[in-house]
Amino acid sequence: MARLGVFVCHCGENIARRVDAKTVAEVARRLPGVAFSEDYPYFCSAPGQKKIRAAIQDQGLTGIVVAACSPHLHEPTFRGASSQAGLNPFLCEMANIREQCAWVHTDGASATEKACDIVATMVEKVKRGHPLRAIEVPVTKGALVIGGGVAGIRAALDIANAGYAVTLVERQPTLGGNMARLSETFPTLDCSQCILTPLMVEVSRHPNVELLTYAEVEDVGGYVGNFKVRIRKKPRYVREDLCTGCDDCVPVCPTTVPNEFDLNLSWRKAIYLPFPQAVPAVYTLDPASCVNANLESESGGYRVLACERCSLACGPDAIDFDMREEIVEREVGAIIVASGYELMRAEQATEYGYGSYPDVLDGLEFERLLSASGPTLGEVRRPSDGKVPKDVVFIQCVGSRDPKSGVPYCSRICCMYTAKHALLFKHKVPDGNAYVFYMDIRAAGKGYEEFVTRVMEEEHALYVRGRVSRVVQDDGKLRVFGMDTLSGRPVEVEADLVVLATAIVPCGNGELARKLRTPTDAYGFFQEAHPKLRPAETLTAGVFLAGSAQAPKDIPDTVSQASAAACKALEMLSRPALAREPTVARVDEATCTGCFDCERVCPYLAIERKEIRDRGGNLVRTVAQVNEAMCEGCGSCTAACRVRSMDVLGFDDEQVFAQLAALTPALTAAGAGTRG
Amino acid sequence: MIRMSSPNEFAQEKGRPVKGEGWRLSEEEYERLQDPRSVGLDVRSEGWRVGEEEWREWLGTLLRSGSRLVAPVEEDGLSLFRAVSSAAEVSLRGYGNTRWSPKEFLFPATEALFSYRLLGDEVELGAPPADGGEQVLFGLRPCDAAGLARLDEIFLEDGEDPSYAARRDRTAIVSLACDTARPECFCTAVGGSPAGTEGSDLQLLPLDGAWLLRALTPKGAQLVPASAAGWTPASAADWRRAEELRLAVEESIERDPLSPEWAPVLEGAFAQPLWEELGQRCVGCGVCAYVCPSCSCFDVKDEGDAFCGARCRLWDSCTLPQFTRHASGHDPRPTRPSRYRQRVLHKFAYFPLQHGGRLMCVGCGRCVRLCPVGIDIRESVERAFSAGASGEGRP
Amino acid sequence: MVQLAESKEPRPRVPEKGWEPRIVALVCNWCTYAGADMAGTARRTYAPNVRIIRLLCTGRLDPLFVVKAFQQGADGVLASGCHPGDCHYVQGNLLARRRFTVFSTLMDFLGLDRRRLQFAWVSASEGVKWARVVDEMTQAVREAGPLATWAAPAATAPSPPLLDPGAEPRQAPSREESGRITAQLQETAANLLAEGKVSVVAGYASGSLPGQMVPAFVTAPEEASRLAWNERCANNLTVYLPELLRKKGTGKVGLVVKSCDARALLGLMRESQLDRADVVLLGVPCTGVWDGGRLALKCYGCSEEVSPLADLTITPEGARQGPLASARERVAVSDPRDAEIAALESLPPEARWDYWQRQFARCLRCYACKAVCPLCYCATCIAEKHRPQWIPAAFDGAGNTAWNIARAMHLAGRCVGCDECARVCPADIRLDLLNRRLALEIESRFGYRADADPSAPPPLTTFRPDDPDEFA
Repeated sequence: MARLGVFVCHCGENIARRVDAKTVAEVARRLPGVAFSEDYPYFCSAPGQKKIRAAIQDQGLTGIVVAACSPHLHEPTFRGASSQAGLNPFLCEMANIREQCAWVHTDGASATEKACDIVATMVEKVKRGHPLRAIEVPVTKGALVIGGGVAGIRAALDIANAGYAVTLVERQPTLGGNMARLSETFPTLDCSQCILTPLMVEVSRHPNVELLTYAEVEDVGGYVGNFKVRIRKKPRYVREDLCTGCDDCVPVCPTTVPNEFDLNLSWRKAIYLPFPQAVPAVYTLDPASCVNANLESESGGYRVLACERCSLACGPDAIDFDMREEIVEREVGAIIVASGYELMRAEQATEYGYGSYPDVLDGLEFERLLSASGPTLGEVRRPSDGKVPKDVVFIQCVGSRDPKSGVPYCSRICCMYTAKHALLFKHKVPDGNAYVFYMDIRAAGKGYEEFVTRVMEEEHALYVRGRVSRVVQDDGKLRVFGMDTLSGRPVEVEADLVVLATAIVPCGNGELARKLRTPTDAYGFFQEAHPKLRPAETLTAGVFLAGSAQAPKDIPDTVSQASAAACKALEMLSRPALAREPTVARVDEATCTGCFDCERVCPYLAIERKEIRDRGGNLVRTVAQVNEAMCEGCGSCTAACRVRSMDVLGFDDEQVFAQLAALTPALTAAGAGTRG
Repeated sequence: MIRMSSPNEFAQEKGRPVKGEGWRLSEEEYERLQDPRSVGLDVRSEGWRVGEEEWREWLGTLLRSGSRLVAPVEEDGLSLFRAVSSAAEVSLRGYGNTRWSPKEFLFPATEALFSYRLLGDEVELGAPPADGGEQVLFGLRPCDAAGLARLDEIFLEDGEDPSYAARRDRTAIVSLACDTARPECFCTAVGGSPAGTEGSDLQLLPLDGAWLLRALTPKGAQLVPASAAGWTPASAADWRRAEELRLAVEESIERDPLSPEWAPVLEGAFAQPLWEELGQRCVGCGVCAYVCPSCSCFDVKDEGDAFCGARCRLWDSCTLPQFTRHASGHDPRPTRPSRYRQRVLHKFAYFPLQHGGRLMCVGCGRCVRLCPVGIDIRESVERAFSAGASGEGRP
Repeated sequence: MVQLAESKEPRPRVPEKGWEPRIVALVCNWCTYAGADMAGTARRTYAPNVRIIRLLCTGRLDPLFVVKAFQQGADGVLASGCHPGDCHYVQGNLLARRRFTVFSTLMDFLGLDRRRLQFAWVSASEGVKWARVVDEMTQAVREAGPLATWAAPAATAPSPPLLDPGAEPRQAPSREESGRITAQLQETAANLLAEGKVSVVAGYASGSLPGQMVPAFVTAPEEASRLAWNERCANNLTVYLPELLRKKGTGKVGLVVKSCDARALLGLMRESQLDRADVVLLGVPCTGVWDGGRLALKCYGCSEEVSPLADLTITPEGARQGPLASARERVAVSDPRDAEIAALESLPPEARWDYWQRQFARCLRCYACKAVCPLCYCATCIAEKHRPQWIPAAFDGAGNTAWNIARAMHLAGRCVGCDECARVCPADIRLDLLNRRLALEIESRFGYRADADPSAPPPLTTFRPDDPDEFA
């Protein structure tokens, strides 16, 4: 027979102002199974918790309900108090009579009545609750970092420096990501590569870091603390162990193709190094453009090669035409997602003529034009005729903050990099004019506002508040039509070059998210566990977030989130074993029919098939079984189970039914309510 | 619940006549009814020729007198027994028999035995809801009336069930003899008759276009309205015609009797492998028991919310998978055949062995007609008997 | 609740004095519950009529929770969770969206006022929206008035729209033809048994009532002569498969099937209840089932004379390998039930409610509907579970309605339309209309048919991000 205790908190006057706590306590005392109830100003206070612990012990309570604030706030507090008093924490439930009652209702009587109902439902829930024990999961002492940009590098280094193994996977042939493409960085204007390449080198040399470039995550199995990751290494056709990066292969290579690293503003050979400081400094033979069209043929064995110039030119004989794609498997305890961002295809903003007019560029392309390692070695020359542009128009919020283009959010960095672009341009072309069309300036970082002001006042960039309606090209000039919303007059600027600050969008997160079984938000960025309190974690235990994979970020924020993610991962890896919430699904094998609808609906692959055999070893039935380490307790399987052999501990069917059974006019009939 | 009695006991109990040889009463009944002190009327003379207007008017007076009137009505194309609010609702047109028996009006499908209320650590008990006063069940076929008589034996003999007894007391039964037999009918095979009187207080015997109404018990006699003085007494021709019709219907039911005397043999056939075959088709639903006028098994469950509710008696059926499943999960009747055997033997062996050779089947044929897989209990009994008798396959 | 003698009449539909709507909200822990907290933190006041039950995810929401809430006296039930794409558990709300869509279709078809059952997406940051949703729903339910108790309606309920199914598109086959098929069937069965290709053949034999055909199981060649085939062979024998497979021993199970029956195999395969290789399907050419002299409704629209799944087709000339289209031109017309459904849906909800409550009030809870359903193979039915008591045990409006809702929902997206449940129901409840209504909904919404590809996942176990929904 249950002996429950109900503790009604006044929360000072937060609750007591609307809800008559005394009445609620009295009513609770008359609920079936309730042996004790009391009210108190602050149960969350030390003396308050003491009262609860005392009651549990003195009254020999088998479960308690704390009627106070939201369980999202103080559930841990009171469950802690329960276990201190020797009561299983899962036999402590909270009745939310503050956020969902006292604070939202004006009439005292009905608020009190509602509070009684809420308490009654939780009493019923506890009455049918079961003691639960946390689930222990072992941890593989290593991490996987996906993405070799600044976020990934930082996270990898932090974990490696703490003494744990890291596998760093980068899709491109080199580390660096988008940051490696940048010229200088706002607001300090230090050279991007100068601050990034040292990190690249450090991470590549680090004894605890395994660097897998030109590789992609194939699939992710396992669960928190015990992930099994399969990684696909694309063939470079150049042996990393032999290549010295001497560059002898490049001159002899007959094929020339646009260089993706320079956003196709420059040329590279079929065998190439994306940029001089690339890490690893290992050349890559791009099969798509190599004259040996059949490089990727799986036939293997003897092949006729049309061209072996690179191979002949290579001193250490590092070229290996027979290299094959390989799958490597790694076991890790934690995964950090740092897959970065890409720019919205500027073609989408048709009115600006990107794609049709060579001298309309997007932000990253302009970065390359400004970069010392870029196609023009840092000189600003426009693509069409290589002339130095005199009048440059910068258009902000291209796509961003524009629901029509599917990007209602602010891309956060455009205001700053546009200001930087204007400044660098003025420095390189002192007699040039920079026009910036903006909606409004968002410069909310340390030193940012000052930077923008400097660009406006000292560099005399001309800021025009308003949208550009269209850009048209005639006789070599780009005519930019816009509206100055401050003066209310239409504006027309003749420009030699137009730079579009296009929106930042996730780069193909969808597929990666599916592999990791972690949700993305409406735009495709990875969903953080909590926007404020858990910004570096995902809702999939053991998977953490760094950088623009979660949302558009500047470098400082990216780096700090990377370290935060690393710290979260370390917190996990440093534990001998993980304790998981025991609110997971459980199967009643006796009644399971083995239809495996549960398996179909489980987002965590937590359902396994178990064969039940007789003494003779013959298969009798195959039933579902829950891998407690993978189950997150969502209960989709429970709802899908017709025979109800599946249930969720802590929120089980009986508890829900009991709660519903308490929500009845009979509560009043039983003399409990204070209706009228 | 079932006491297995030996053939000897059966023999001792034997000798009680099997009731229901049509409206001609058995000698002793005849004698008893002859004696005015016992009944107060002479059945042979008490009989009226009534037309539809007359019996409807009579039902009207019954309703006005405040009794609950239960009679066959037409609902969505089914014929069902319902409590009616006006005689006009009663429909006997083209009515062979109702889809299921009227037993629910004596033995409700759900009956609150008592109500409870939980207050803190205390429990408050309440009396069951009082239901209705006098009720008249009108238009029962003789088989159904006989079925209710079986319920009487179960709920009133050895250990009276108060709520059933109370309801039974307040109930009078007006049966309606059959003018045709449906293919599934076999009352004559189980000792009944298209004009059987068992369980009836009054009876309507069909005449062409009219009816012969007669009282069979004092209770019935009291139901006869004052206006009956104005009714035409039944003529000798009417009695003869009614008798002819009864014989015609009885002859149209070509079934050999399923004798109560088979009971010991059937009981002996318990371990016959043949049950496996007989029950193989059974899909384990409860239709047969729920439409049956004599099935009386029930379950007891609490129904309510977190604070109050009632303990209920609910119909149950031996063919349902949970009927004998223990809390432990063990089930003494684990298979459908074993459950079907229970159904057959209960009705044709155990019950007659305990109740003076009376079968717990009145031949209404509903189970035969409504079984989803066409299982025919008559066939099962016959085959089980011959197997038992020949002793073949005895373990 | 127990049906008390005096509480037989429905509760008055007109609001009583001082009546306040009771609304139960089943919400997910991560979005709506947090959103409701947010409303509190922001001191957004709203109607005090709502009572929140916290689940971890809307994917956890079982329609029977909603039914239970209504039966406990709720006048309205609100389900709410994360916006599509925001689910804490990746996809729970998308599964919930499908389930709830189908469920509300059912409840609407049963005549429940749409205002009483709503679904809303509320994110953790939408405290304002939560307050608005609750206020709007409370108002709507106040206008709808108290929910009538779930019991038999007053006898004045309108009669159902009995539509004439129209001219039968086909004639019953001649005795001779059935005779020839029967002969071939007997020979084929005998051979299969003799050659040990099957250990049992489940077919039809004459029953004891005139013209009645009943299931028969033949295990020896000499018994094959019991088997017969004609247009009165109504039973769907696939219901026996699980049992037969359990007992079959080494051999396979031979099964005589009409095309409608055979479709059930797809469901059983889909739900890993069956290894197709264990079954030999003897397809019989079927022109339709004549039930009580009338062509069964399910047959009007059926143009499959022989099941495409058949391993052997029994023709008057002999048994042929594989499915075999007959020479005869198969005439099919539109399914008469579609017109009945349309007629029902043209009625006002209250009338539909009475229509169904009147039928459910007749339900004997004999569970014949589930006993004959080839897809109700669960060893222990939800109706037999007592912890919790999913279906009220009492034989009354509440219990019967809960059972019929549970049955329909459990068959949603799985029912193959063999109509056995409707055929055997002693209370003539139009279960076929319920099944068909949901099948139509699922086909139009999710483009899924239970009688199609067995490898396709059942529609309620999957989702598309762009599934249609009309939820706020």
